[in-house]
Amino acid sequence: MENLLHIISNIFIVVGTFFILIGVIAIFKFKDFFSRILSTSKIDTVGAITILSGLAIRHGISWFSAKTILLMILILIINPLKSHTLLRYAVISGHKNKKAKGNKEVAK
Amino acid sequence: MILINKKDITIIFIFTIMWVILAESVAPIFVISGVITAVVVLLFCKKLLPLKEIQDINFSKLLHYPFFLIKEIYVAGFYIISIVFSKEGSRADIVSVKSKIKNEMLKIMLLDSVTLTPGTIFVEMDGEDIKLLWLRKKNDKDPSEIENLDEMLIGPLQRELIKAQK
Repeated sequence: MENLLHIISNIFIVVGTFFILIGVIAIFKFKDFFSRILSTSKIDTVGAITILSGLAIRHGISWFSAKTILLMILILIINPLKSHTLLRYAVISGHKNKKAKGNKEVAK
Repeated sequence: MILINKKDITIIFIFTIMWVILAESVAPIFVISGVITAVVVLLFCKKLLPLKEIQDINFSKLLHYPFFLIKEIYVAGFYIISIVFSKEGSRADIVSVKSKIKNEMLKIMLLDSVTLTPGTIFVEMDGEDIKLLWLRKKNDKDPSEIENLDEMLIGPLQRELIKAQK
């Protein structure tokens, strides 16, 4: 049973790391602020949640798992606020994307 | 005189659970100190918390919502992977959609959920109109040409939240 939990948790951690890796690739691939902010929010949500779920599964029913779930809830609450605040002030300040090689289009 | 209502008790309960988890003990001394701390924190922060706004919501119909949201987050996450690796490139647009939700708190929940879902971030709200930043493939249809943009971006989340509207 313990081995099974370890395997499942390892799968979760690997999948989470994969999501974060994709997010990092996206940051380097996209050249404009608006696309980058969308990819960072992906790292925070999908990647972090998957890795934290994996850690919680690995430790079973314990205080560590409870803290991990608490952390997950806090991430789910804080992440939209962070993304929205950054984006809103960029829009209010009149930020416009410059034409770049990786992403030729300009956000309206 | 300090009045403690049902909402306050719920918040004190949540704060105490958080305290106990961080203390890693259910010994009476930790539980009691947790309750005292929760009451003090609530007294200081009550004015900042939008407790009066939380009304006319049927929370029993939202019990499945966190699981539904996590499913939507993963579905959108895989879609974003396809955009990242697409050869045609991507573009981010600010688009406007209309929400059918009347309750302000549920509307905020919708906007938070939309921001959590990879590919869209909430920018601005003006009554029913919601502005979102949307990442899409470069060769996809222009947002102005898409008829059911509301349904595409906020439809599934909105449908679940409307059920909780009294």
